[in-house]
Amino acid sequence: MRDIPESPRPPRVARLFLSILLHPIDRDPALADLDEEFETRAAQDGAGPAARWYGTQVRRSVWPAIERRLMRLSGRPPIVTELRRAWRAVHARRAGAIMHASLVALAVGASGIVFAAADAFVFRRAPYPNVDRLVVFQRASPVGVIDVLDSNEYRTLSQRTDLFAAMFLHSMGPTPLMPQAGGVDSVRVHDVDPGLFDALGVQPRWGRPLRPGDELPGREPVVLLREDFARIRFGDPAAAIDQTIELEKERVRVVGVMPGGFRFPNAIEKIWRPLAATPPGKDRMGPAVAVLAPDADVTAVSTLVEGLVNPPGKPGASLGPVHLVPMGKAQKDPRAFTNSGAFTSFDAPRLFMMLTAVAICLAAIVWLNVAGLTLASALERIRIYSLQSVLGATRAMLVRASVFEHAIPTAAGALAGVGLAIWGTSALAAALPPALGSLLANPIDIDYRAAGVMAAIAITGAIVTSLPAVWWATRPALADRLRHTGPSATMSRTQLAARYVLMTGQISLTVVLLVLAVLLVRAYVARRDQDKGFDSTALATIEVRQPAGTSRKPAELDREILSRLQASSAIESIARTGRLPPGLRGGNAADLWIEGRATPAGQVANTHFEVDPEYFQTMGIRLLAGRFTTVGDSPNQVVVDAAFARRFFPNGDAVGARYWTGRPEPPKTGPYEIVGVASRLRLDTSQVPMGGDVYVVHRTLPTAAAPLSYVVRLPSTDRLADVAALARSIAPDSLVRTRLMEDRYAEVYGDSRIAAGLTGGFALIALPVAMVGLYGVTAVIVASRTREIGIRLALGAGKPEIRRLVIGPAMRFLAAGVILGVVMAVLASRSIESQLHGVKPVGPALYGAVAIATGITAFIATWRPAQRAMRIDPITTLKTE
Amino acid sequence: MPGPFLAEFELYVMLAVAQLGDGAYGALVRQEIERRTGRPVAIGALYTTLARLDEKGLLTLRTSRPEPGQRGRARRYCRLTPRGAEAMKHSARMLTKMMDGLAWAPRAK
Repeated sequence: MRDIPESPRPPRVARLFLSILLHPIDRDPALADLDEEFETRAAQDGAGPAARWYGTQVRRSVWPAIERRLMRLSGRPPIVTELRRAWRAVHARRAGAIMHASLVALAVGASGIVFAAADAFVFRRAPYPNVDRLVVFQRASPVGVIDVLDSNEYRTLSQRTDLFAAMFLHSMGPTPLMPQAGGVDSVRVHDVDPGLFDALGVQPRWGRPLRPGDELPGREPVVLLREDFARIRFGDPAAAIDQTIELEKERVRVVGVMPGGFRFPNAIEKIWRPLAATPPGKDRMGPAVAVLAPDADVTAVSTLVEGLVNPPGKPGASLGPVHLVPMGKAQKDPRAFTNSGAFTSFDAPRLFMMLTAVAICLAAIVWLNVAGLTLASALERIRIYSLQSVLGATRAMLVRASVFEHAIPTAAGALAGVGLAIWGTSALAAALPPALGSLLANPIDIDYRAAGVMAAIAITGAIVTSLPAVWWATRPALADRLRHTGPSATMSRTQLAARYVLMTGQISLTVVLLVLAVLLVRAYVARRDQDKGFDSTALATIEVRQPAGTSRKPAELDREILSRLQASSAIESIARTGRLPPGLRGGNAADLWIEGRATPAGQVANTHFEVDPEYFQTMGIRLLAGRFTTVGDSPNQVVVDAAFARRFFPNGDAVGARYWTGRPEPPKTGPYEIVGVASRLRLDTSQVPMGGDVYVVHRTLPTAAAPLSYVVRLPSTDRLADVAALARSIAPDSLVRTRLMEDRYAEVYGDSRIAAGLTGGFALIALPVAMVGLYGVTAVIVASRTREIGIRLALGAGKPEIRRLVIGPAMRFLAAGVILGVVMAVLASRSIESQLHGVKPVGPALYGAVAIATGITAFIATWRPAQRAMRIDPITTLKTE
Repeated sequence: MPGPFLAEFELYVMLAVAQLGDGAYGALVRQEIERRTGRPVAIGALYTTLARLDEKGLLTLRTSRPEPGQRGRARRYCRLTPRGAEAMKHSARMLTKMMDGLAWAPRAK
């Protein structure tokens, strides 16, 4: 038998690859086509060129084959086509889509901003990996909540290895001056037990951690740095390792740099060094962080610990009982010291809890309105849906197309919302009083949690709002829908009632927001404009802190500053003072004995306040009686403030009186002779009333311990920069801080500004949102009653009747919403009374104004649908219905 | 009324199918386009386009049974639908109209 020469075959691998790639339906014919052509080419040109041609065919078929598979898999047009179609639909209802996107942006943005702040202040105060197993010990003290254990408590608890796997102490270190970006600045050092950061679950990103033994005397002093500090100081954190830096009394070597964003215990610490070993015989005490034992349950341990360290009748009344608190939930004392040394009264967790609730409600309202818009657009397209389904479109196809259509404005809105949230969050973080910002271990930013919340809000909102409306509008009761091909769309009574209820809720919440906003704005304005007791315009302060170990005597520096500034045209007058307002009042309590009275007149704090003779004039303090002290007066001749005079001399006979301070037993301090009564300096509203101030004109020599402080009267505020430059040139190695007095006060009432700003912002959002909602409902009413309106018009109804018919229901639920809102606002304003700083939460003017504002909004919102109803042509309507 | 929009390659495929008549199948269509335009055509791209035109209702596709005359191979035969023919004519007319009056307008060789 003769052998038949074997014909060449296509490259096997290429053919196999193509057969895998091709869609099953195309596989056989396409491969057959190629095989056929390959044979022809092989016969004509030879096997080699034919194989190369085959390879090119396979290579060029890869992408088309993938596209074909995607097409077949989904059984629908490619996603780009669907999006293009959806875009055309969005473009057609331009105004509605813009409204939709704006509402989504507001919901996402507002929730993002508030969640970011609430996350830092309320939900997740300590963002450490092991935070769930860590606890701290908190107690009340006269100055707020502190987390300190005394030596006995520490000893008792640290021995209970059944409760705690480990216990670490930490404490505030020095704040040396160091060269920083833009000059000299103070740097906060914090001392920690080696092993504490390991317990938190955070290791240095560069270098090594602090190790047990680093704290022992005689060892080389080592520190860890914060990432941004290392970057500023050494350019690159890695380059910081093994470098040395100068702390106040020692040179230390950098052994590690913590990861970026790490904060402990607050936001201001930049250097951590080992907490010095306790000498033998001494006790360990201070703020503590404990790791729970592996099997220990926090509730059980908490009960045991509180029983162990708070026995009944325990002495030491100044500190309250110890409470064990999970580190993630630990309160930071909201009454923080500001940089000016004043207390703030900012109850941040409470405020942000409230704002979170408000933001959630606002988001819910916004989504309800988006649902309203979707429903309205679905109603408009009900006939198109009907025709599409007659032509073979399934309900799933219609819903899918509609979801694409809604996805575009939702995505655009969500994107804008994220931008809004990022901008708002950074604006909020910048607006926080520095002391509050420095309290946060968890920064206010859009992290993955906040982003997750925003995404969840956007996606849930989109699903909840667009699907039901479209599902309803595309219901397969075709005959029913085709019967209603006239211009009126149908809505059942239940659906209308549901919308009324939603609208009432929305209006009431708008009223609550408006009332709260007005109250908080008034509280802010009242605090800002309150009489400070002196003239704060064009008044500035200078603080000069010398570096440790300087050879320059503070008294010399003081003399030079005074003489050079007095000679400068940049100021009008200057005075040194022991304390700058708004500062903390108080000190050790002492009895006050007034001449001629047998018993102490009361207790006063150590309020004697040393000032320069120029102080009163520079500050612009008003003289109410007697005279100001002058250079020739004795240090025992004093000026008291109005509060002091009122409290101890209610009959107005303070001037000329003499008093002593001190314990009942001698020695008493004094006698002091009151030569004048001055206006009272407003320091802060949250201070403990301790009696009042007494000014003593007495120049003690400045010491290195406290910074030199001055008040300066300027010709105008823009001369502050000149004053700062001059002061820095006098003390180039020192930390020089200059500020306007107004700014120092603004820092104290920054909390009021934030509360007023955020609530005011929300109220301003809520008002137009409510307007959109009202518009939507009224438009739907008009659409659903077109036939009725047509009949009424045909029967001779006038325009006023029609207007009443349309606006009437809107006005009814407006009234219900306003009444409900006022009740809720009264309750809500009571709960934030501490934030109102004396502004009365109830007043007819306030509620009247809010009701009028809401009423005007409602009128504007319902005007257009009402006009549309009046333009209905009865003949056309009745013909088509 | 304008028919469905045809992309350039879709139009080539439709024209090739029209040229080949009843005997049009994958390999022939591919060769026809290559022969007339000089443009290399991948078999994958051709089948994807055929499927798309089928979905649009412009072509009907029929896979033949493997027969001895075709060395036991299946073939995908295609034929224009009336709608497809209309769409093709419309697209071709539009193209001619758009080129009308242009100095460089090519003449068929």
